[in-house]
Amino acid sequence: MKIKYVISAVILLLTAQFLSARNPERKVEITGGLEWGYTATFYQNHNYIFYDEEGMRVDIVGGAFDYVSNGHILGRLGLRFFNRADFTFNFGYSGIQDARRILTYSLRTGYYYKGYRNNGIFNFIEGGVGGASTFESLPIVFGKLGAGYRIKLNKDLSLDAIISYQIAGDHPKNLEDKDHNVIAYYHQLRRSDIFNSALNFSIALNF
Amino acid sequence: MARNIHIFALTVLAVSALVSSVTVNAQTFELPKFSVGTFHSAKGFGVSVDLSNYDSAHLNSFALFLDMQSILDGQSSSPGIRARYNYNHPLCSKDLKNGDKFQLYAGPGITFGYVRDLNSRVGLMCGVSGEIVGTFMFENHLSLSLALEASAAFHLREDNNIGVLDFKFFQAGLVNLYQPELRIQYYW
Repeated sequence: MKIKYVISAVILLLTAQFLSARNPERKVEITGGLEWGYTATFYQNHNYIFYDEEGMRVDIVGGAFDYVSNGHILGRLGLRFFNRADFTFNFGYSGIQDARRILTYSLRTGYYYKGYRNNGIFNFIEGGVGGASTFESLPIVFGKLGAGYRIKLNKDLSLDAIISYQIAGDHPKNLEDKDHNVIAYYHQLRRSDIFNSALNFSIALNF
Repeated sequence: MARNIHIFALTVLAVSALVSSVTVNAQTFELPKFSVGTFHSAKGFGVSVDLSNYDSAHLNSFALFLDMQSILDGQSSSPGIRARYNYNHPLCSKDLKNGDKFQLYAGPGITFGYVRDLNSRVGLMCGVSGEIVGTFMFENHLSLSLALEASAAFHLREDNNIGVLDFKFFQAGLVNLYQPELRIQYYW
């Protein structure tokens, strides 16, 4: 259900942006867009400390390659500065691990080498928080570093092809194995930290 | 079941009425000869190809995509596969500022695949479909299309509980009508 609300919200956001007038001569202007794509989670670092049924302390620390397919969609709204940079607030829905999908809230800043509305390469950095519900005690924190190529469609609209590296820190309530069998429950865990590394391949429409 | 049939009938009637009420001179409606690109929707992701027929009066639209029913909400992790063909009639064409163009098509078609229905196992699906497509064509030969599509089909799958084969109406074909399809294509 959540993803349907996200999709509806970003479509409304796009419509509002599409109807507003564009003026490339302004130094600062409202801008926005819609981005979606494929998330390939490929590596996980984990650090668990729990007490088993016999009261023995167990430490599990390590990392492993673990390929999981996911997706993401997000809407962006922000400001364009001096035709080279932008700063946006992003709201979206993303998968970060197997059976782990979260709402995300983030800030992004990007630099467009050939100008904001011209064909050319750009870079961006993004950071934010997320969660599966508003009642999670510890939010997921994530960061992205990416690059892309912008294709100008007309003076108001452009299409981006983006690739980015994402790292997301999560705190699972229970320690589970690959088949989602619980190894340690919430009350047994003293530490539950994982970091998921992923590559995102995205397409974006921007106004 | 009866409600679903009524919804499908209304959808088909609406599309047919729209197509038949608008008369377009095919010679003034410049259809792209060939377009190829990607297909994006909450329904799935894949490729789409459009070919105009010999007199450029109609558009043959093909789509092949991974079906994401039950994937996005986490119930399953393996997508299905679905194909679709629509015989689209041009409805209107408008030249926009900046040299861009907007075109509207609609038409019937067929669809088949190996997909899931609402809360069901994967199975064979086959039926008829109808779509309406609005396309923005830009000067750099890229086009963006937004489409709404509904299908009336049947689904052959294993029953969830007792494992026997079940032949049912494909509910996702009508329920997912509200999910728009975005096609990004390069046209000649």
